[in-house]
Amino acid sequence: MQLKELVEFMARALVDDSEHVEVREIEGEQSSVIELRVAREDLGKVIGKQGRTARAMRTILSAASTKLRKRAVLDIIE
Amino acid sequence: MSNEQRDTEEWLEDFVLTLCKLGGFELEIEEIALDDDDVMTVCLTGPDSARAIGRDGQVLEALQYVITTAAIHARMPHRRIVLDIDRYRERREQKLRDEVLSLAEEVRSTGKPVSLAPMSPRERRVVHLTLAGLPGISTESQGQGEDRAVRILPAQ
Repeated sequence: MQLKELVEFMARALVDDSEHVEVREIEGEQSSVIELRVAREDLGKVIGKQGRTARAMRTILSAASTKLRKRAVLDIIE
Repeated sequence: MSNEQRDTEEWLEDFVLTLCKLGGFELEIEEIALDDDDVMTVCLTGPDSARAIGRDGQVLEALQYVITTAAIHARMPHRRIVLDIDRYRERREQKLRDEVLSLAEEVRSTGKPVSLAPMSPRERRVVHLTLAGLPGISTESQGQGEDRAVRILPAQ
């Protein structure tokens, strides 16, 4: 399992411009930061109304990361 | 089975299994079914079901939201998709029906209205349908968006 690939897969399924989805994982010992970059026009797609899409992705990411006994934070770069 | 149904099913199978694999959720598809209201339900089961459901079904709701949003974005013909894991929704709905039936009994005997916690449209529907036609009480929804909740009232 790769948290980076999980975020990348979800983001690609939500945006129009899937070529401009970039995900970077900054790994720490106990926690990881997953940075997500998408085309400017697609920001709304990964954030969603009232942040609902971003919140859903964060919930899935933390549930996935408990298996690795790690904390993962999703950072959507604007 | 129509082509449209098959297309959505194939897309769902692929998307859901990939999502589970990448998220490290060891789950398999138990059933994909289309009901009379045109809602397609995907049922999953497996050793990681508890983690994929989460506290109060939070992870399940998040997974369903991402799956539905992605299906709409992929222009799937069936857009109303429900995800269930280990029949969690089914069990929760049964519990909800039991709870509101006993609350309705209370409202009828005390004559005082009771407000329920905010619920999803689907759950509010279950409450309204469960109590529809019961003598001595009526139901209504109040509030907006995620705060929308059902009230059980004594009949006028």
